Amino acid sequence: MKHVEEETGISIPLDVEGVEYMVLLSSMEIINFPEYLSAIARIMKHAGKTWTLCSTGFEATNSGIQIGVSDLAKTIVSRIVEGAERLKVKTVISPECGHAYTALRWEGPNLIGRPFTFKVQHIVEVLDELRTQGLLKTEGFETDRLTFHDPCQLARRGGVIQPQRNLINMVAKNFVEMPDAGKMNWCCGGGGGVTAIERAEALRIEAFKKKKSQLEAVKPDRLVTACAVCRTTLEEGLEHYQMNIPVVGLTEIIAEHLPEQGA
Amino acid sequence: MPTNDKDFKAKLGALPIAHQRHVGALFVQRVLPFSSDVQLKAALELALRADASDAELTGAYQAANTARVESFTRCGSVCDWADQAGHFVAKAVVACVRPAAEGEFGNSSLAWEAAMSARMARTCQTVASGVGTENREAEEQYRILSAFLNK
Repeated sequence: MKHVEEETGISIPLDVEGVEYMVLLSSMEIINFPEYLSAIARIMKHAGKTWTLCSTGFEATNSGIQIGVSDLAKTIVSRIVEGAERLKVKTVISPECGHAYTALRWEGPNLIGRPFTFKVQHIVEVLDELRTQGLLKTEGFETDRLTFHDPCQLARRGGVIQPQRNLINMVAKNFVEMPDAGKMNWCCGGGGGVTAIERAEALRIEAFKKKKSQLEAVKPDRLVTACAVCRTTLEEGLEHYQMNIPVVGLTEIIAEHLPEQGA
Repeated sequence: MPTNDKDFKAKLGALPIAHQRHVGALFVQRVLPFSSDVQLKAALELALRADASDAELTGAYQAANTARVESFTRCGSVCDWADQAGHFVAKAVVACVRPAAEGEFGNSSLAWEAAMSARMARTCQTVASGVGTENREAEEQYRILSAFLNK
């Protein structure tokens, strides 16, 4: 938080009651991608929305879902639910992570045995909603060739397909779809918890061949996605096959196009 | 001497690219011991050379990027903060040797990206050593930039 506050000049709210959004982070964003929280801070300031992190429920990663242990999954979901209800937030934002969205939005109420008192949305759903409300304005366009990798849990399981495309088209002049994009998109190679298994590297690299062929079909300059686990798995595959295609997070690329970057 | 990040960022962004590379490398030198990757050390030495060719930078960039990708902490694994410091060193070095052909850093600059990753490396190292997250890396970077500008 301190790092992001220094970088952006924006205070990161913690444990603020009655705000609209409670923002969750995936463990990958906490450890590897601090730029995600920077992007959130800038976007929320730009949109004029109130938000907070929760000290007792800040992480969306759900190891219980990943390894198929429902008691653990329930415990992790409960931390978030208790935090959101204590802070009386309207919406909890699931981060750029696939399984975290499934864990909280689809499995969560069943795990705790009752409906939530708040709404759960993936960050791309929130950003697209801000766009339709006229609260998310961007300026300028990326001119290089971009394509989008749909995280399985978000698109195929969650049905969230159009919002990310609406957002990319706000900032990209040259967006191309990979074959089978959207509902039928192929896994990055690390889904189903495979990313967490060190000895499965060979499997991930083999599975990535499908993504490789999809990328070769459209030859993008950069690859955009909305899942930090997909991002690291894709980078690993691209590195293995010596494909020079940088991978970027969708929220970050939107934040880069906000007016008044000095904010 | 810059006294805040807004001023620091603006001053870095105003530098020509060769100077950004150099001052970025000076920031990274402070955290380089957190990585044992010899390729990163070589890449950083290249960033400090004013006569580095595009071909040399491209080679160093690829090597540093490999170190960055290979040092990601995986989802579901226990984070070793000392290793994670090494990851951010690699990320900082990638910024320093980024060839012009790779394009710009959005609205940011090469030296700023190096500075931010160097700070993350320092923070990870302080967490690993059990002294929390407090450190004075930002102030040290202000001092380095000031000394560079006053040379």
